Amino acid sequence: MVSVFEAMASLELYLPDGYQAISYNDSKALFLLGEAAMWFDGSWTISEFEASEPDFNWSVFAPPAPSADEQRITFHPDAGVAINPESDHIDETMIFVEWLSGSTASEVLGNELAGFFPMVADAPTLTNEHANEFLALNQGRELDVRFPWPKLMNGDPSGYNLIQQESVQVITGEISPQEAADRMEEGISQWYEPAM
Amino acid sequence: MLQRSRTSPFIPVWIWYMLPGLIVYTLFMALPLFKSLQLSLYTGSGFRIETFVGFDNYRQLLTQGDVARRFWGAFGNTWIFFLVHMVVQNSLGLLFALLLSGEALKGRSAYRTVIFIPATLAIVVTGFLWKLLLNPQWGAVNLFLEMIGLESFVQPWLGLEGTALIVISLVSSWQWVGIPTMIFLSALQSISNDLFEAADIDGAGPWTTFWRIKLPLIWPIMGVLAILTFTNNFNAFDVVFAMAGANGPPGFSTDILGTYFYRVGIAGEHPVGIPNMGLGAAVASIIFVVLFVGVLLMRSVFQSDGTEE
Repeated sequence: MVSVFEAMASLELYLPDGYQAISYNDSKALFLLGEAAMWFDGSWTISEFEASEPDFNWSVFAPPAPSADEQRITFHPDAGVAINPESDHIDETMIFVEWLSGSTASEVLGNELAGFFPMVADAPTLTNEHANEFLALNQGRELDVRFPWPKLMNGDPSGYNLIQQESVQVITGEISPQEAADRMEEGISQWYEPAM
Repeated sequence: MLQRSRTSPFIPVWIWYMLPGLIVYTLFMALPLFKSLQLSLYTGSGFRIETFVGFDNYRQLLTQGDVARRFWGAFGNTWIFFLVHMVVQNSLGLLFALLLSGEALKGRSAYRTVIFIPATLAIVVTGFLWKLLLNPQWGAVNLFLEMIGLESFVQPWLGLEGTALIVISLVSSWQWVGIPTMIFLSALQSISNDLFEAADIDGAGPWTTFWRIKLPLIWPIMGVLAILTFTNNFNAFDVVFAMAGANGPPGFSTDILGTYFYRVGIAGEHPVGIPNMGLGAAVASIIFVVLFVGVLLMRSVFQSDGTEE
């Protein structure tokens, strides 16, 4: 955890003037206007970029990993499909879900919602260039989810809020990476049993 | 003799005139308030708030760990927010009213309009406007500071824990300054000219006239304004939500009771978003008690002082 916060703190040098008050949308505008050379974000922004600046020329690269042998990429399952077992129409719903996870629907979904990837058994070939660039990052790397999600969200303070607060304070230099990691652990261990 | 109603000789007629108001007030004000006080004694998840826990929600809020830290943080910030309005908004309002009521001023109605215009705009609009003006990259505020040679004052105003809340309070004061101006102005204009003439004959200058005549006569109005400012700002939510969101960035420095209540009782903490309605109702009840006690105290201060001499 300390090295994660150290890596974050090291970025402060490259942030624009007054970054403390630059919002997510402001930073997006800075990147689109060519005022920022690099920008942290995910594949979900593809369609927004294409809609507001169709001629904007950009691509994507993975943040450098601490070690070349062990590289991971965040490929986060954001939404799933479920059927209510109490439903009177389970058979009909099954037909819909089978269609939805089939090749036709996933091809439509993956191409029309560029940047969102259907995680189905036989993945469709995508036509969007940027979506394929993102997908290519998965090659040769292990896949992972956003780390607070599976286990660290259901308590107070939640891992999500902790990492958000500590990241901000590490970047602004209010606390050291070691302090940030300590606070993170202290917060989580208040309710998450394996950390107690 | 009082006129009695035809249907019952014991019910006075005026009761029928009060009834519609009483029903609406009970149904939409008193009952929800009572239900909210009741809810603050319960806990549960989602929409099922059925477990009675006594004063446990209050104990958590006032004394327990992170919850108490957030609550007291928001409580303190709300006082700062209120005091900035009291000092900046109401003092400027009094100053503007004194200038506008002066005989010498030309184009008085134009100034009056300009001062009152912000109060007619939607808060989301002024919040967004000021966010743009204060933007560290392209905002006019910092460009202006650079232009007049005050580069050292250029700050990411909304991004620093020391400045964000004060700046938002000032924006809100800017928006509402027209209200105290108008109230003070009408109070000043209602003072009889005889008093000023008499003071003039006695040789009182403008300063003496202000302290000895204008101020004592508008003192009760100040009381009304103080109560209005207090109730409006202890309930505040909108301007902070428009400019900083409900999470109190940076570092909970803009978290006031309104945003804290919204986060706890209505929206839930991002990104899980499951509200704790019992705890939220406890926050609302505490806001209610603070307002109630505060208004009583302020009334006694301004009433007793106003009737002296």
